[in-house]
Amino acid sequence: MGNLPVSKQQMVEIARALAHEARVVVMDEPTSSLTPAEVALLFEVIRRLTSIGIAVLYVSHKIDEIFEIADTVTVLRDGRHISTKPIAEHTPDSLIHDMIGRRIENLFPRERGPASAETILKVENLSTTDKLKDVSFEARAGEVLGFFGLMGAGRTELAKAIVGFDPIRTGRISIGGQPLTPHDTRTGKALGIGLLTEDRKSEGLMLELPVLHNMSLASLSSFSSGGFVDEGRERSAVQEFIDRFRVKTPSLNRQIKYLSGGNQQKVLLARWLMRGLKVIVVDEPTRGIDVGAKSEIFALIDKLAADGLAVVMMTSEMPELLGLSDRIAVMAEGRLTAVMDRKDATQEKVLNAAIA
Amino acid sequence: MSDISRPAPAAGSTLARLTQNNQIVLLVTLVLLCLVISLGAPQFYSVDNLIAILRQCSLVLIIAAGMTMLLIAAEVDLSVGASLAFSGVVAMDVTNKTGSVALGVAAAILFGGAVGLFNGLVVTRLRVNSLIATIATMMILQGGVYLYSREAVQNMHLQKAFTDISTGYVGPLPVPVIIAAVVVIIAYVVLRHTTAGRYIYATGANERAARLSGIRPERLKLIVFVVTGLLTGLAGLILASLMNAGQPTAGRGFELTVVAAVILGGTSLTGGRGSLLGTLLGVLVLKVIDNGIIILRWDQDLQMVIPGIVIVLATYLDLVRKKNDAT
Amino acid sequence: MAGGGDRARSFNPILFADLARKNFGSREDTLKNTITTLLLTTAALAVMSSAALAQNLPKKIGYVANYSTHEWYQNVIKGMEARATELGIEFEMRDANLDVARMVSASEDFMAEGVDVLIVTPVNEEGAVPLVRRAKEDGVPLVLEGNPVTGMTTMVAICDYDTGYHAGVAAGEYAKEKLGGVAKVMNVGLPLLSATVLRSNGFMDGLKTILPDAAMVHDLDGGGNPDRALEVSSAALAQNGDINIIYGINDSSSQGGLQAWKAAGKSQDGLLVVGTGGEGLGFINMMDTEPSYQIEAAMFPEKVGFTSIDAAVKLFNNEAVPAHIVSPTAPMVGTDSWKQFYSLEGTTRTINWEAVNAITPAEKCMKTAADL
Repeated sequence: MGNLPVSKQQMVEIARALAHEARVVVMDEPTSSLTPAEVALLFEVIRRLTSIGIAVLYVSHKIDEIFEIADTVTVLRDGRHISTKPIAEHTPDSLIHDMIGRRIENLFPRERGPASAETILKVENLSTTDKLKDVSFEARAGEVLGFFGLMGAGRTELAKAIVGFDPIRTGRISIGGQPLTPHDTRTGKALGIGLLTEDRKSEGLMLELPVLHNMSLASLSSFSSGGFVDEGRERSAVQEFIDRFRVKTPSLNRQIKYLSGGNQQKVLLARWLMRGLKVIVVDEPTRGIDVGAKSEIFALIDKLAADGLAVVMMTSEMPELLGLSDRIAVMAEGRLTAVMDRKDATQEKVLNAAIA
Repeated sequence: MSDISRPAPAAGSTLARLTQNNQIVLLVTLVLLCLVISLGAPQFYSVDNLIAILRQCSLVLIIAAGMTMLLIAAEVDLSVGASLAFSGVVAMDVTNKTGSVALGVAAAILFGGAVGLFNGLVVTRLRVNSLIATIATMMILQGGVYLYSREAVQNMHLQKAFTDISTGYVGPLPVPVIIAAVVVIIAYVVLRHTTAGRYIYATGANERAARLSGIRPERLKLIVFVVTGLLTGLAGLILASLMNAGQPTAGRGFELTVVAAVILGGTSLTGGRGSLLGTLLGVLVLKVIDNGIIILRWDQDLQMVIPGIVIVLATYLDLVRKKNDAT
Repeated sequence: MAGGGDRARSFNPILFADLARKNFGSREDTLKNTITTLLLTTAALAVMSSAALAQNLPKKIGYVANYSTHEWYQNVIKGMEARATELGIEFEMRDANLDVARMVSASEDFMAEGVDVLIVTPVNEEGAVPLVRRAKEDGVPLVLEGNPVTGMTTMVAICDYDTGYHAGVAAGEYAKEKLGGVAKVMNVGLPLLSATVLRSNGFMDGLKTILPDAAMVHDLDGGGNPDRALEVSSAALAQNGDINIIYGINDSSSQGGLQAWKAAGKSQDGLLVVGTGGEGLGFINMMDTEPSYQIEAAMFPEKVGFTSIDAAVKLFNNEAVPAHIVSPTAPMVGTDSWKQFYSLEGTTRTINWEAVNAITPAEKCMKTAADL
């Protein structure tokens, strides 16, 4: 079963529940790793289940899904019950209001100006042994370059390759005109490129360590002389970012595992920004984050671009892609299939390129 | 918990607050132990006995300093016992053959370092799990030492400087205790106040995250293996001096004592968590128990049993504390 | 033989030698039934070496060692080779390396190749019983070394209790003369094995024949290895400042005890250290360099080999032999005493056969594991 795609595994799970004559089936974020086609299939199955009298408890933070599939919606916030209403009584705005306790005027605020013409990141003919095939693109200072693609299109692989984490077979990567050689994260860090990973737990967080150490990890050398860390300077720098990013933590010494996903994500973002980067690659920046924190992350990304960074954003969320990007690149099966300006992009165009 | 962070504000019961800090638990345990033992045997507090305890601690501590770093980096070295014996044999043999204590000292430490380098290369380059790799090294060394010398290498050089390494004093303190103190202080400073120390924690806590942040975990681990090896060589030298012979049979089970002390001190086997202060207390607790059992004339088999129970209890307390921490 | 748990802790080869050499416990009472035989053959035993020359000699003797790489057995083999060469007998050793199956197959190979006499150090009793039966059926004379096995004809071994006892007597005389008649003993022992317990008991019993007030102040488990011995001794010495005799059940134990004494910064004046075994160079070095190391209860492993060959010759000639042929042990007393029995060249020691052969072995052990 381990070899089956996630979507098929889910079907097997559902079948198993039915075989036990389940009257209620609980699904917790079932679409988080499904393609749109698979999501459609899952919803078809859910509708059939409900039609034969089985209750489905569907846990999700994706608002469009809720409106598509739910009959009744219950909102929980901070472990408390907020509201239970038929979906008909909700609008997206009212639902978001219940979820975060306040109204969000604009999920995608844009305060930055236009991107500069200066190319910061240049990737030429990049290929890896397992996934990427001949990928070339550029990213400019002050822009958000959004990468879209279906599951398995190679977004994460591209992200890891261009920061030096994964080895490449052929191709050239340069940051601020300097080639990324040797091809490793140490060089990448020195040249000013960093990755905000999609998999916080296994590649980002040091769960047992305090917020302080998590945030300062990449910039430790700037707080140290002769190999000794100046903890005073470190703390004040970290505190500054905690305040700026509005990270909710009782203290700098709190183990990061006790923070919410959104706050963890802010700490990881700060890990790179404390260092002063030229290019930041963000891979699924809002995965597993509640709507309230999402808007804050979006605002932060906007701010980064405004500060002159090139932001390369990998995402599978269409609203995010269209809401944040200056330019949009689409990948399919390891290749770059389209690059377009935001103003020329539509959902259909993007999806077409992603399926090609 | 780890000494790298001040404890978060305590939550829950008084017990929870008291057990918040593993080191406080150990310290209280240590004080209680000393109290109980001295009630049964007043000689516990004699200068001779305290020095005997410190001297025994020093051997374990020197290696445990390296082992703490290794465990924090999520690796382990089980070859230290065998390497301890072998480097002792090398120290005595080289001193015998060259008549130079300096060369003997250098040979022992370099031998230990070479063993560490070997372990480190096998683990980081061949990607063999360190538990397996270092058990293999242990076997190689245990067999190898007999190929090197069938029997104990006796002190034929009769150099006073050599025996002074273990039995000499600087002021009121035995030389090995001073060596151990220096090693522990340096290791403490490295772990707590240097970027290298932070990177060791980071590597153990999340190796991939560390690498993404521009750290080279393999290189770091290799260095820590070598450091542990060098320290083992140093301890082997002291042991050879103490026994006045290079004993191939020495050091059996020593690796377990070291690992037990480090774990008792609150260092996690899964990496990323731990402190030298804890290790220091762990070593003291184990060695005081060891000493107390003899002084109280209890059955010496308890020297294995009681530390075993103490480790289970300490680990359990650690879990309780973590749970309280989470609420 | 010690049980499984004992085996686990006997990983250390020094320990192992003790364990394997003599620890078959309750089998010893067969001895009592053979006292008559023993008495009858005493005379023959005493003049064994010269008598052997007059006998028919076997052409080839095979020896299956249980663990030939250990120092003790190295010296046993040396003794066998020396005696066989002297008598003009072809001698061959094979090593079971602690493996019963290898012990049996090596023995069967020897029998198939037609050795005239077989000497075996049993790896354990269970494995050796069928071997003893098989040798009987095939009519191959079989001498066991170290450990008795049910159904055996004869065994060559030392007496652990006697070894300790005579060293104890010597220590008592030394203490009477040099230590003002005071004997406060720290026993760096090994309670795990009956052989080593017998040594410690023998030592105390022997000591008390001279100094009835002698006391064992501390009875330690030094594990038979030097670093453990050193560690436990340090604690004991710190507690009991009045200890003036250190007894070690093997040379590693006495060395550990003595080093603990030195590490505590104590002068060796007024101290007596007694070691047991004398299988390596360690005791020689200690006797030479440590003023307190005055007595070694020597077990002469070479002589065990020598005696085994002679026993083999006797069996070959169908002579009656006792069930336990005692290989002699003796305390060496005084700094240079070892020179009487051994000479040293570089790191090779050579036994002085004349001196060792002059020691009259006991007819039987004063106490055995059966008496514990």
